[in-house]
Amino acid sequence: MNYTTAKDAGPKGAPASPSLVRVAILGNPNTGKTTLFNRLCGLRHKTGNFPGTTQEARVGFIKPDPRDEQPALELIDLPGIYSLELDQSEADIARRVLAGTLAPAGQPAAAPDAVCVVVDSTNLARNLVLVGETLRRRLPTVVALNMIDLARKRGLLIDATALSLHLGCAVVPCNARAGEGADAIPAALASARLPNITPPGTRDGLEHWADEICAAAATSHSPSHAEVHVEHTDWTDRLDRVFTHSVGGILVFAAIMFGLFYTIFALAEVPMNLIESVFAGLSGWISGVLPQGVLREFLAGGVVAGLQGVLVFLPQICLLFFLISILEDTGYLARAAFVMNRFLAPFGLSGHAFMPLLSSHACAIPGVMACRAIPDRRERLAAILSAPFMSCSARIPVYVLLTVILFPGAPTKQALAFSACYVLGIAAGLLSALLARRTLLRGPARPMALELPTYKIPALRTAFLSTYDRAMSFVKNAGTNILAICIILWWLSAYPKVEPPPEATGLRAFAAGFDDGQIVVRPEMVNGDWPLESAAHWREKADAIESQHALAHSFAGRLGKLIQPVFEPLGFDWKLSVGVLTSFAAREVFVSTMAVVVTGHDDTSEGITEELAAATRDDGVTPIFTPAASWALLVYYVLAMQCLPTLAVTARESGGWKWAILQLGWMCGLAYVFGAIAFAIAS
Amino acid sequence: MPGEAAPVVDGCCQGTSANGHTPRKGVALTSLTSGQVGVICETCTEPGDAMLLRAMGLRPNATIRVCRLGEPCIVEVIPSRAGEGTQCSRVDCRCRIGLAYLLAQRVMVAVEAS
Repeated sequence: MNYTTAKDAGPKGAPASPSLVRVAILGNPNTGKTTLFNRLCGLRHKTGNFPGTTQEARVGFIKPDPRDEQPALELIDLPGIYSLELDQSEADIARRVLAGTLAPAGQPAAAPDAVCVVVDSTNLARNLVLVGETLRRRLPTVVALNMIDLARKRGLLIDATALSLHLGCAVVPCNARAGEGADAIPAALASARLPNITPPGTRDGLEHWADEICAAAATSHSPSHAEVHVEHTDWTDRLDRVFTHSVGGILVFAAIMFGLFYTIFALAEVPMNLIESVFAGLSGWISGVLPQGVLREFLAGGVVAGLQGVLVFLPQICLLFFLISILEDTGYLARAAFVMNRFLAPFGLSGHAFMPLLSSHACAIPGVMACRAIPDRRERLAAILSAPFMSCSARIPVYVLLTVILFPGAPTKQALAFSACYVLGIAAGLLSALLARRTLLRGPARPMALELPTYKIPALRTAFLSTYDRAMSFVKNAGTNILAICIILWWLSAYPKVEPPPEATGLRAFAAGFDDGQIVVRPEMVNGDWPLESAAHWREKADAIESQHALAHSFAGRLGKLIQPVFEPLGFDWKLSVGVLTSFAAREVFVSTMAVVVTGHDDTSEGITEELAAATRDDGVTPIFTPAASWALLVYYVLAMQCLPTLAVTARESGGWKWAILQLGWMCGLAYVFGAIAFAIAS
Repeated sequence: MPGEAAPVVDGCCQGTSANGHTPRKGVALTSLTSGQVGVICETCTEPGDAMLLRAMGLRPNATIRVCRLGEPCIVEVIPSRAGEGTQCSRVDCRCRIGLAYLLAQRVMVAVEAS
């Protein structure tokens, strides 16, 4: 074989090892490149980034049958590009991978042993230009003639043998969607040879060369096929007119988005509740099996809670990406991008950014991950920076709590305040994107030009594999960060250990002599003010007092007291400061933290709002949630980056912590300033 | 200024051309009617955009059919077959491209008699 291997990682021409052949998969967008990759590799792949870039890198493996004397293949799925010569980050990555100066993170940088160029049989002339550019790189090449079934349907017959002769490399006709012909590709790649022709070097020459080959290899068709195609075109025209119509297009888009997010919210709730109950059971089981001590607390309160914090997001992520993949595969998403383009263009974003921003209303994590679909790097980063401003579902408990406290018994005002939070988040996100595009991410706002793929019935296999890929990527990369953050925050809340307060010890000792259901009272302890309650109630009361005491003296509690002066301009006391601090793990933690701080238990069921609204500060008179502090807190939670898991995903998607730290500083700074302004106005 | 394309004067480009062809007289793509067929003369945009459009198939002498006018402008690209000049097979390789109106204004087209 005339290839070197990735293991050698040496210059081309070095002795080849037959054990592993590195293959770069290249192709125009919408040629079925990823479908072919999924068909060949299935679940045997991993997703990472190209070092120093935000570009996703997928590496798959094909293990041959042991009886065959074929080497294993390592496939690198390169981003879809129209030309290797374009001034785009995707084209730059493809150029560098083919030159052997870039490889997916963790892989040795070496030129690929072979290149597989996936071409769309129904658009051969244009695709052959990219084939020509690849052949000029002098690498063993195989052309996968994909969508051959569609070409046949349209009356286009391509002579693969003639095409192979003209191109000087192997040509394999295939239909990646159905699997037809795909089995022949690994063998062709394993035996790929250097092309025996060199295409012209100029653009004009290359295009003419591609046209000539297309004319020589593609044979004519029957008139009946022509009629079929004209009918197909008519339908496509009609659908395009509806989907991109200035009014109708928006209505269709709104209906599809409503359906998409309704499905996500409706379907994700069940598995999310299931995950929470499974982890609650697991935590209870650990508490029951292990003796009291550090290990038990670490496993039950740190590891299990952290794992829950990771996996509870999975249903939303899986559903979102599954549905997006389905929509993308139908060909609709490209049309929708144009519908939203006119709204986002004034803010330096294009229609590509709409889906990520909308997704962020469910959860910023999949929203930030969905920014991968934005082709322009600057615009992608601007969208990543603005996505967490969108009010995610984790903010809802906080909004509900604060609007109810602010407008008790006035549902209309509560609804208005609730809606205003969403509007404020969207406005802040878009204005932040505009600011970023005018300063740090300055660059030409490219007018949108997008290929509109043919309408197709979506392939479920592709959607499932894409969803699996995204889910694994989240669990492996972001998940590990989220788990670590949750464990750190647990430790801060649980340590150092302090002796239980005498009040709790005394109450527990008193209740110890009675069964749970027994009604008991101890008037001398409370001067006769306490009502008659069961022994179980007093035990719970003792636990609550102990939890409050432990949190107040924990590192988190001490930090809350330490940073309280910082939040003084927003009207927060130390308890609110602790709530803000702990909710960096996830915003929804705020309500349960406040429940612990105020009541001593983390039960956030009905009635807790009233308890929190009535709770007072250390002076015993001033409410914790004064109207001014509540307004400040509401504004703060709309704008602040109170979600370290999202930060971890931002760091991953933007290619480093620089942008994540900027996002944290900008959002928290903005939240602080506007929170202080809200407090000053409301005071 | 970044993001702004060259001005269009009398139907001819007065700006950067990435393809090396001599600009020839044509009309803006947006002045065609829906369903009309034309041949691309020139794309009068920034070099980066012109390169991209060309790589997408909107290259000089490519035949296009206007599918939808407005925002976006949708065209179907029907590449010329070698040796056939601007004549093309109506049932051949073709793709659809959506263009922002601003961009479509900068694509100059010679109208083909149908």
